[in-house]
Amino acid sequence: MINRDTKVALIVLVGTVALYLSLSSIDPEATTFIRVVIVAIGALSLLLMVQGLLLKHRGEGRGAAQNSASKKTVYGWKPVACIFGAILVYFFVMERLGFYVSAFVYFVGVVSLLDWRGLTPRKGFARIAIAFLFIAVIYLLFSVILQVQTPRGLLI
Amino acid sequence: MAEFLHYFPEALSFANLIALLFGVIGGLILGATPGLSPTMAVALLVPFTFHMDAATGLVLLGAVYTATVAGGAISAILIKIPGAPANIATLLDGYPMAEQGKAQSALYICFISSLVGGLFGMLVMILFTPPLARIAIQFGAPEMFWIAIFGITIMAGLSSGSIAKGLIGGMFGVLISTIGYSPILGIPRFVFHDVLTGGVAIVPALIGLFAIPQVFSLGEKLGVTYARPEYKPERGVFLKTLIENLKMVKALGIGSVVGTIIGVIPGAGGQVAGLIAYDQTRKFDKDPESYGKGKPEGVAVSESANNAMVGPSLIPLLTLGVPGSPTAAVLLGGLLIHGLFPGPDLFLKHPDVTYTFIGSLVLAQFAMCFFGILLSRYSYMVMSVSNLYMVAAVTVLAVYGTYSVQNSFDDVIVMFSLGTLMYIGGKFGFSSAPVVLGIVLGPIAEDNFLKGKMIADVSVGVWKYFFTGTANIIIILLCVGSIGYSIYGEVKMHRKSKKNKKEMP
Repeated sequence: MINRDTKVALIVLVGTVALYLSLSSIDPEATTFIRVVIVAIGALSLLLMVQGLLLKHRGEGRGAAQNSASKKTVYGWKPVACIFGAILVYFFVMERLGFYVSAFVYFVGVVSLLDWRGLTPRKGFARIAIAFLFIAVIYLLFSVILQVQTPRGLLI
Repeated sequence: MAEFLHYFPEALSFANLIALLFGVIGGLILGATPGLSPTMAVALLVPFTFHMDAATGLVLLGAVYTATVAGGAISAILIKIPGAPANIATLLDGYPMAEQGKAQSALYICFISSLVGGLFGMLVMILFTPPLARIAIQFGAPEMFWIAIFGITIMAGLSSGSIAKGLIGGMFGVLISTIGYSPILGIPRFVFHDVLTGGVAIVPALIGLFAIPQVFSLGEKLGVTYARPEYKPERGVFLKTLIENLKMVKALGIGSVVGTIIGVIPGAGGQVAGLIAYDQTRKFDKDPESYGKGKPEGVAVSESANNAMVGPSLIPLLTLGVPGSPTAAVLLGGLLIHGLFPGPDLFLKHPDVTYTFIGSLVLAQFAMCFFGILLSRYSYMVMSVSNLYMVAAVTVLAVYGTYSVQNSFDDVIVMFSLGTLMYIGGKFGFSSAPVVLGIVLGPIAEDNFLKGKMIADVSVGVWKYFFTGTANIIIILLCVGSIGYSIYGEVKMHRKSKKNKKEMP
């Protein structure tokens, strides 16, 4: 049975071969250094593959702690998917509504989305107040004092 | 030293002092907040310094760096969660002290010892950085190429789970840095979309790679709550603790010296400094068994060590342009957006900015101690902040910071894409630091490789040009040594885990 490191090495190796082949359309003079780097990545992925095959049990070696830690945290994929989706929506509306309004909507939205079960009118009001305060501090500090430009939309 | 004293008053200007104040207080709060790494805190701040004077921006970043390292001890002592890896050794005795009702004393020892160690490290930095920069200025293209490679090998070995994955991450970062137009011929490379025409800028990369994976990780841990510590500050403890702390000469001495030595080694970091110094102090103590049970010397040695490494950890960055730690890599981003190229030239072309920055780091040590002691009584409030709000706040700051540097929405897309990829990579054992270093050091490596190759082609040949000469051989040996040391560490860890497995019933 192939362990996870070997699979990762295989994917990296295939990727580097594809990347190396894609360089054929570019002037070789402009890609000398890139070719060296790609060959180095390929060699390292082979090393990782050998390492993965030698350490048959996944979770051995120094990467063990990290691997097992990541395995343990996989349970939280739903909130991660929620955050990912909320950020995409945030980006989509940012250039239409402007930075501050979209940031406020995102702040309240993502907090409510991630903890909708415990939502009460009191909590909802607190979240709106915290989001408002946070955005107001950013606005004062960066837009008014430092005069940093932000994406502007229909609103501010 | 004379130049340092000449430019020191610059650090005391009103704007710089305000930046220092904000940086230290903000850094202490961010450092004490579990779940927010100091590197990410500094990365989020980099774009905002773009709108400041170069010296003031660097003062702010330096102050945040100094304060987050010390601030991380607050959560280590009060809730047994180190705010930064540098504070791991602090919790060994800090938390037992808090359990015994001596949290206030432990926090005071932490900040006083941090000041002692920090000042020692800064002194070494001030004395040794300019002479080293004068040596480094004699380096040519091949030496600078090997130094860039050395930086990647060091970080790859120490911050990733496995050396192979660390190096792949570092090389992947170098590959990302080649996106855009080639530096000599101006031919586009890997420009699959208009967004990538200008290449990947340093700020979106820094923020994306450090902040976005952290946002997703915080999302995974939404259910985690930290117990509110029982901590009631009393009057009259400070003076008593100060006298007790200053009597710990051995612990403070070992911590400061070990922290400084480890700090100079690129990539070693405060975590290693704190643990080695702690171990040495325990070995030299008459009662080694008392460590780990709430011994004040344990807190003093680890905190003096991790703060002593702050100044020296910047020596490779300021003299060679090679960041010695992930936070130094972020600081490098701060220098680059102001058009300052770290390395030997920095002291010659921009002595005002460089020495103001160094001077402010000295002041930051005092400010960190003062505000740390002052704010420690309210520290439990910081630890009650929900991950929910941190997810929202970090995302908003990441987007805002990325956009504000070039007023480009494309940068925001690049930042988010890199961050999402890094989060997925993290699930397979890859870490952000080598990738960031690859992106930062990639252009240095490519420029010097190409320059060297052109010179070599018309003179002695590539092999002789890159692989001979004392400096080249020394740096190559350092690269081999750093990889060898990492492999040794990996094999040792593998044997240990195998042994532990056998011993388990």
